[in-house]
Amino acid sequence: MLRPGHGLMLLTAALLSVGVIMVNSAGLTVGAAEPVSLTDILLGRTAILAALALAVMFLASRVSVERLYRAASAGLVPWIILGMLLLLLAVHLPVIGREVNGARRWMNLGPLSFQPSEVAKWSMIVVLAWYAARHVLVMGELNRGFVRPMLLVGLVCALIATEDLGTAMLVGAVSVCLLVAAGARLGYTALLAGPAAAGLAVAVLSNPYRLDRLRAFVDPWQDPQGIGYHVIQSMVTVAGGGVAGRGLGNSVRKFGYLPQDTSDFIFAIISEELGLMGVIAVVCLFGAVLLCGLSILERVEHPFGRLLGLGILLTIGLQALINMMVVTGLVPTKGIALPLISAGGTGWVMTALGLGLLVAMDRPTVREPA
Amino acid sequence: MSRIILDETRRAQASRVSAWSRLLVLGMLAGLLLILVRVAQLKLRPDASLRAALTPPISTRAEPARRGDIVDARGRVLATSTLGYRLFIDPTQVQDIRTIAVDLAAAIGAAPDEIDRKILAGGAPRYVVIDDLLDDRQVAAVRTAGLRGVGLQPRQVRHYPQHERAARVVGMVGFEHTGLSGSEHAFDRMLAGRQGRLSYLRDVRHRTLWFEPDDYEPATDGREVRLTIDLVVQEIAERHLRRAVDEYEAGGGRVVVLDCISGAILALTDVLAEPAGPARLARNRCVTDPYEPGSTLKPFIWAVATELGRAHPAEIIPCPVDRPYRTPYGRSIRDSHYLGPVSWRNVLVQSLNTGMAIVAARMTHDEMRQAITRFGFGRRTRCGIPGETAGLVTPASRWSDYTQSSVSFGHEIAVTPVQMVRAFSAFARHGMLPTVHIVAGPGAGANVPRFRFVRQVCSASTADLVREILAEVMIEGTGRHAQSQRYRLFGKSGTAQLPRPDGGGYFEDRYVSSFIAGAPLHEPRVVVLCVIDDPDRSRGHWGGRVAGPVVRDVIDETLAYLAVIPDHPLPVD
Repeated sequence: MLRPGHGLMLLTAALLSVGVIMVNSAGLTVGAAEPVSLTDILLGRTAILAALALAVMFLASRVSVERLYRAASAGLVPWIILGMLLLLLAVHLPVIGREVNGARRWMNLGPLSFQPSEVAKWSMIVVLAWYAARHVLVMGELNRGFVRPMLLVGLVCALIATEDLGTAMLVGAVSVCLLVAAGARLGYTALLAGPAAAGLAVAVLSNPYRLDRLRAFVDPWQDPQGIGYHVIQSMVTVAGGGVAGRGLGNSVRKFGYLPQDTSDFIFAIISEELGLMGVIAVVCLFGAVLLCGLSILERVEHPFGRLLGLGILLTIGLQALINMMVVTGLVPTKGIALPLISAGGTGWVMTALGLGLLVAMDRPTVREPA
Repeated sequence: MSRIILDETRRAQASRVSAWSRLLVLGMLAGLLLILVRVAQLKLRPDASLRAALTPPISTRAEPARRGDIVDARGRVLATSTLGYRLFIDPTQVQDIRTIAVDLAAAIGAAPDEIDRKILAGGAPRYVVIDDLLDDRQVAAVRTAGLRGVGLQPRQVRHYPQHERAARVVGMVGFEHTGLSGSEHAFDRMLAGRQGRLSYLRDVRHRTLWFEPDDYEPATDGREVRLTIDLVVQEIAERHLRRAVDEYEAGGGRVVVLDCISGAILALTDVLAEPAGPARLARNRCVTDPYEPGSTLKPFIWAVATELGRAHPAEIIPCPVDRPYRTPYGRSIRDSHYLGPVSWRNVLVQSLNTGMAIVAARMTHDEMRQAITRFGFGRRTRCGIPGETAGLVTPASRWSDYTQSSVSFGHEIAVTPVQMVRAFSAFARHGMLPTVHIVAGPGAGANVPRFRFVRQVCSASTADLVREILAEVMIEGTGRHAQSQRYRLFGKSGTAQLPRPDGGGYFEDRYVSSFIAGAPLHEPRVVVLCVIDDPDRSRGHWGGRVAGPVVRDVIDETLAYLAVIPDHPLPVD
């Protein structure tokens, strides 16, 4: 029988396929020297990354979550935290860090490059899930159950926020949800209002473009060629093509009108080319991932597994939601990718890794006799 | 103990996590639903400002249609179009406005300060025409220079390879290649064709992306217009007319050569001694300006009177012996020479005004007026030349005895040269009035409002009789000076006083001298009319003298060109 884990793998493969196709479609240029063939796409960078992500997912699905918990308990966690913080600081070093689109989010590792914030995003879940499961008896306390873990979360978020406010907010939101789900009282979250507001204010005021994004969100039409351009182009692209869509590859707006069409704004191109049906398909795929994930973690007995699974689902679900809300003009513009679809190696591999861990939890609850 | 507490707490935590998971997943599913609604709203019900921004980035380019050629009856090109280039600059796109004039001047070989002056003159801020038409070398130089903000705009250039030959008939085009005058104007729609259109999607840098099949409308080139004018005949007519106008120091002259079998106008010339402007823009007086025909109108009146039985050709008409004839209403009518009573036939041969007036008095006013109109006078021929007028025929309400007499010898009436040749052709066609036209070839009828106006205006026997008598005119009458050595002509001269432009009567000593003839007598091919306006009286003013030789020479050369076998040479006295 098809288990939820199998379904999750199929759904991941489907989302990655959509990603490969749409990234290639959105990346088409006018008058390219070489025509793009199917072989180019199948042997191209995106297809290889998708295959790599699937491989990583498969490997992760072989990991025993119980063992992971035991390893964490045996002293792995401090190392994870240390590694995470070092990586986040390393992007600011001159040689290793790399600046893309005005933000130092990337890190060079020989021929490879990746975003430490992506690693931190997923590591944080493991750390918090372990902490909450390990300290289950004190999770209702203010100090040990909420303030202490939130200090770490705050530090990591602050480090990420210097370059990537969107991811920092995502990590913060997922962390708070995890702690509340693990036993922290809901009322404690009110304590966060002050620091979060202050942090946001600092982040917005320290970078003028963030203020512009807010103004553009409030009324993009006051400066349609300036700060409002991106939001307007995004909404125009989503609305373009009507219900039926212009057809795969036939987007008009990808030819220079919509910036970041292969990465953060790929959802708009999907809407323009594949129409309402394409949008429904992508949204349903994400919905199915959430439901499959939920059904897996409900069967896991150990709180660590459940918390880890919830963290993974929240990370993917919230990230997808924020991205699609940005693209449709529902929230201000943030640099946040659509999981498994927006072009991006680290994101694909790390997301697949997370989903692979979810699959790993989908084991028959009845143990086979030894 | 503590182990049990731990396990229970764990279970409680697990179920708390499970409950929260359900809640959070439900929340995220609701969020996904919200996104679906939002996308549907953007696609189906975009707000007003978004709807305005939704228009696809489409550019439209006009595809010019090539203007059709105008050719003569034998396909010789009278007007044709080629592609030329206009040089313009967009000062806002120019890299360095201070040096552009020098760079351009080097490319096209013009003075830099002249270019600078054009740029500074302003006008359209982004479209400054530097040169309206470049030659091939200049175009190549501009392209090689590759200067930013400098553009070559393709445009059609009209050429008239025959220069001034048939200039009035051909006319010319104006700005934007539209017909201004002559055939260019008359057949503009047919010549112009239909401009095509290409709408294409463009990317953000205005490069073409693609276009749908529906977005391309190919241009339909204009059609060729083949005129009935034959350049050779036109040249013959122009040459002889020019010579006569010079010789008689006339104000101007007109010659029409009509193929009386087909009704095709072979030549249409209009010469002015002192033209007021370019010939291409001038009106074509052969259809626009009526003149008083004088005695050339007599054959028509003669034919109708004879057919009505008001006089028999052999009947002796009591013309006066030595003094003017006095009409019953007291008007004195003179002849240039008095012969006494002569036959009705000889009245026409000798062109006697008195004889014509006597017989005219036997006709009713209606009969006389109808005699005029049935030959097509007073009505436009619709030959296809723009600006045609109907001539002047006194309306029935104001038709008097005086008019009756005047019209009988071609006064108090004005006709256009084309009306005259057409009416005269009836004698060459056994009484059948032809349709005259300026456009030949297949398809001409489709676009040209050609009035099918073929009808019998007098009986064949009467027409043939008139033709025979008009042949006598060439021997015994006023056509003696126009007799041809090669062909037997039938013709009639006319000499009318020039009306004063203010409408107050006639000049005493200024004339319109005309001559009309057809040939060969037995199988007529052409009818030629020559009108000489205001010849110098000291050199001559009688139609037979002034205009007759032009008609003869044009007929001789035209028939030779048309390979018509000459008649036996006739004795010339």
